[in-house]
Amino acid sequence: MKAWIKWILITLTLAAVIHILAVMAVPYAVMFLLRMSTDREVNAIYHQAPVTAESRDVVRPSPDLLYSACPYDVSEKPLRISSPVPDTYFSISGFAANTDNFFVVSDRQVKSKQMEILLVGKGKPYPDAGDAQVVVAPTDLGVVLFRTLIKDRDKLNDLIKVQRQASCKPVE
Amino acid sequence: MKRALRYLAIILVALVIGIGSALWVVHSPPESGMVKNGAWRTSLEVGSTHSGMYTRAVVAVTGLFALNKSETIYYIAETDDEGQPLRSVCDYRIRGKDLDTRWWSITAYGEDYFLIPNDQDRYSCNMMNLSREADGRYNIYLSSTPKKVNWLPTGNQGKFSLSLRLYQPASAFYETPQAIELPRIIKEGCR
Repeated sequence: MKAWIKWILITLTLAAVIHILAVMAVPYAVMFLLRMSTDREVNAIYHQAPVTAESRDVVRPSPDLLYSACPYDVSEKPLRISSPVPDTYFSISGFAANTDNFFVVSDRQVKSKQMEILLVGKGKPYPDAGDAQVVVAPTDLGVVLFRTLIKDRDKLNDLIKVQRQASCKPVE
Repeated sequence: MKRALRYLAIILVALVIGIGSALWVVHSPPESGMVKNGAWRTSLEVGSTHSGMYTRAVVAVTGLFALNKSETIYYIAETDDEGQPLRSVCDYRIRGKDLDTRWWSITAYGEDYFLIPNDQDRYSCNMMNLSREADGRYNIYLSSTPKKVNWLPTGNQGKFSLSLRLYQPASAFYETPQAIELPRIIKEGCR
């Protein structure tokens, strides 16, 4: 084999490996950059104002939803996630460090007007969950997102009042 | 010394090709692996823990925190029905009927994947805020200039895209996402 062909093959092989590693790293990098840019404490809830063109934390936000977010770290303690269920579409969902949506629970899946979730680390012990649904997080770090549909703009203030009652707290 | 320089050159070229192609494929995902339906495309892998590395990377960059298909299906349109890119210098009409889902909405986004600024804070048309004809069909007017009804502003940013969100859709969307009758995107004219 001619030397220059060998060098081209080595370069392309190395480029292919770098390509795959870069693509695999993108979701982790996006989550890392989001954590850095928003600089928010973990295991605490942040209620977003109604989405407008000024909302630029996360791409493709839905203007029809009210969002709350809880960046989590369940490496040491489980997280208790609670929210009243409003009279509209509502869901709580979890996103792992690689951005996978590993769980979603919506208003139609709960019988009461209160949603309770205990988010626990993989393979880690946790206390009695009581009436909460236990969800195992595939990664210690991630984000829990609360979505509330704004069906009627005239009732936005009522929805915001309900939104503000949601919480996520480490279980001691 | 010569050999060291050669290795360095190989590494640099490989980095440029490897990272450059990764960024390109994330921002311009290939059609393969996507389901096409008129001007719309979707992937049932979005948000899934079983999604491939390309889908996962594309979603992270262009639709972070998308829910998996058990909850929501997202269709994206970056072109009109003729396959031409959506541009804010042109006016379009979206013609459709209600979809068999708990909730649906159509939202316009700029090239940066964020909402398009406008004085009216109008960013989406959805099943609750549309004016319809007697048979239930509707027209949504995509334009940078105001329209009397069902106006969705497209700003002056150049290209834009649309997201069609379907919350808790009927099973047909999972079974034949390519065959559902989705809204048409018709170009009306350009300035």
